[in-house]
Amino acid sequence: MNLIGNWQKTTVSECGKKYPSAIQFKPNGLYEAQGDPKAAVHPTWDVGTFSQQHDTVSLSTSNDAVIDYQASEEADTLTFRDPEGCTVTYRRL
Amino acid sequence: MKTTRVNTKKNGTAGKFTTSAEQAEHSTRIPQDGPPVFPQLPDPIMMVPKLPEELLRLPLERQLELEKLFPLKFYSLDAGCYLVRFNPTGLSYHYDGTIRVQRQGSNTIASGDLYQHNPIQIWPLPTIPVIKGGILTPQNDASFFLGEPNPANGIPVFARSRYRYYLRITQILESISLSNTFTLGFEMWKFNGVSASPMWTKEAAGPYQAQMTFGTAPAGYPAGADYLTGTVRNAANVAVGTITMGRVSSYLRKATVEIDRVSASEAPLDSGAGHGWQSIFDSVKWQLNVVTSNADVAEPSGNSWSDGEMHAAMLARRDSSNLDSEWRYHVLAVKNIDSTPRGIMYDTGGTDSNNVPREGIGISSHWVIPNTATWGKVKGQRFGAAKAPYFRTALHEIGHAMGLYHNTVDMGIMNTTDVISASAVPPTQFPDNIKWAHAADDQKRLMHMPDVFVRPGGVSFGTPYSTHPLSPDDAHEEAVGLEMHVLPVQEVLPIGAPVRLEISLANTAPYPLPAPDSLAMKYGCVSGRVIDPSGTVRTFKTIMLCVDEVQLRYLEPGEQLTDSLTLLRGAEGALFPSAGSYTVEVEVSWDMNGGHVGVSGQAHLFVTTAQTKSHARAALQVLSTPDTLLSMVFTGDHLLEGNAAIQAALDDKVLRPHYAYLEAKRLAQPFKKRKANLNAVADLLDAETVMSTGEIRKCTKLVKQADAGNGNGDASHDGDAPSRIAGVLRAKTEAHADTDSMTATLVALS
Repeated sequence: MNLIGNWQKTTVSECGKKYPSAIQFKPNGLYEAQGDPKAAVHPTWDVGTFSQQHDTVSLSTSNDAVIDYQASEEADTLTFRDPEGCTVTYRRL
Repeated sequence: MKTTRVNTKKNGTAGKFTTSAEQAEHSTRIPQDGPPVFPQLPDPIMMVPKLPEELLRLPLERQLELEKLFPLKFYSLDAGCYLVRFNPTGLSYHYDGTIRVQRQGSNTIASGDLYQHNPIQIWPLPTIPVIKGGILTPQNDASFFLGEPNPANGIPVFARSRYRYYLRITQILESISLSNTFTLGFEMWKFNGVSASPMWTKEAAGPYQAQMTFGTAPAGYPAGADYLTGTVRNAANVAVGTITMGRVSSYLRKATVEIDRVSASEAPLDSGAGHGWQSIFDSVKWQLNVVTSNADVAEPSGNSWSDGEMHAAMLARRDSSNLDSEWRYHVLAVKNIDSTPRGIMYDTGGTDSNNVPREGIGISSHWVIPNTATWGKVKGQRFGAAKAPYFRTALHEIGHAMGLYHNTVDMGIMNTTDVISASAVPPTQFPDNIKWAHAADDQKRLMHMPDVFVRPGGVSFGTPYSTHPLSPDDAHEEAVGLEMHVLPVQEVLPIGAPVRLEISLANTAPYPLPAPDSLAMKYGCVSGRVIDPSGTVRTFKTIMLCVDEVQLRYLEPGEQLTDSLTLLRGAEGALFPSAGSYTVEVEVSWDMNGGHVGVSGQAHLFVTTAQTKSHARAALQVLSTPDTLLSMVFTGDHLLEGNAAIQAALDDKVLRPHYAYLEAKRLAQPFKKRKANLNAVADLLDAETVMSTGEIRKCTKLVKQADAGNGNGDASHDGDAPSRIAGVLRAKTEAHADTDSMTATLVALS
């Protein structure tokens, strides 16, 4: 699973609204994301750190909590599953 | 004086007044699934001297002589917090609140908040003895019984449930005047409730104006305090009430920060290098009362604290909990935290045990900083022993409690520790590169956001507001000597067409000046806004931020950087959604010497209406398809929706010249198993194709790459396709100022 690069959200779901519309994972372990201007909430991921261990990706969130997500990548599609069971997918740009 | 009573009546919502104009406004509210409506924070009000110019030119001694001969009284409004009272005409209740007046250089920024006050009618007032200064005194002061704020107590605090309006002030006395009156202009934004949609609506009867007159402050105000009264009129010049405002503090807001800790953890009180809570908050004009209270908070059952355990400890141990009489934030210093290594604003929403958001934060003193070079001077240390980053984290988390989000515009308080440590450039080491202040836009938020966004117990953390620079004027210092020029490739263009701009940054100074090495949008230096015919502002910036940050270099005298922009959509959707005249402002800004520097330029253009039904359909598709922008920027066969919109534009003869290059760019590049197709590119491009200088260069580069790939199977085309394309591009270069360099670029191609 190679996270580095730019990703655009493809999921359209109620639970997925809190996740950003685009995210960039950088080689130095930091990420930067962009929220959807039409969203009713500030994105859970805005700026922070990420780390990967097997199929778990840990991301620091907008209130600085670090959350573990189950993640997988297949055919340029990256899928995260959060602790509440919400699944959100991104496609590589 | 004749006063016209406004047609007011109580509606079904307790504590709100409605005008007929307001009722009409309801029909035009933004749909519930639209973007969140947030009152834009006030813009700086430029200083315009109110004194005769001849007087201002006189030397000070001469002015003093004149003052003796002709006694003059000068009026100005001191910066600070004003206690305000708005009495709507014909209603039994009024609004109390504050107006914040901030000086920013020679400009003034002002905002305010109103809370409804429906006093209990008691008459005659009872006389009850109270203790004042140790003496038992009969009390029948009306304001005491009616619950009016006492100006002697400084900045007032009101109950959250009574919050009603945000005041966006657009006109005020921003300089010195010989007149004892001035016009206060403002918009009123009604707060509809935390869970209402929309959360805010602008009163349609506004904007409002009040002719304010200086007077003598009543008893209770600080000696010599500015005190003003005026009649408020709506946009139709109908008097709708009266307003008074009196200055109660040189600060804008006040709060208490209580710090509790377990015995083994340090209290985060200062940076160890001269920065304390009040010194940080002095720059945003917050009066902070820092209370170091309990030092014996009991450890939880395990080695580390959960969010719930920290919340419970806050409820159990804090000294006070009435957020309607005090803005109190709580810091709990513990050894370790379950959910984060350093610190957390755990109190994010109304889902905790007391349903009150943004009251408390936690910070962990026993996290061990990684022993790697990134962490500079504090690598390997226990966090609580590393005073600067430990204190900075407490400031950062309290920033979240005050409603701020992460902000990477500089190395300030709301950037993350990881970003700051990774950004240290030798010989500077972390934590010496910390900026001990909030970023300019966060400073403005702390000073001028509506109360409910910043006070504890207000709206939940995560409630969105604009994270774009709130006002270009606030965000950066002007780069003197550098000039920005913006030139549209076409000044008149059809609706649905992307707007192409040639931009240049020139050094007009007789000495070298630092500037970005590139104006390419991907480096994040270039952003801007578009103002449509109705005055609506939409913003744009790059959607693809390059991992490498732009480098600065010295621009020699007379030297200029050039680049091109192609604009279609921004953060708020289509940038040019209707016919009419537009102003496009382009800003180039960068960080330098711990500050933010920038320069901007603008251009005007006109968008014509749809010329045919086909044009209208195609314009609708490109403007309503967000992925059109992705197809323009990233290019690829996988961007199906965006490519379909571009195809619709190509099928229309009006829009085809404006989109032909964008499709050519896609076809000139191989994608997975598809080869680059220069025959198709040559068929698309002709004399009518609209292209910027940057696009001509990019096209040349792509065609050269594809031509080179023809031999290795990455491309397929006839031998004359590159020369046909070169002929079209060469003809286009003749229209550009730097024809010579463009032609040279094309020589190799043909």
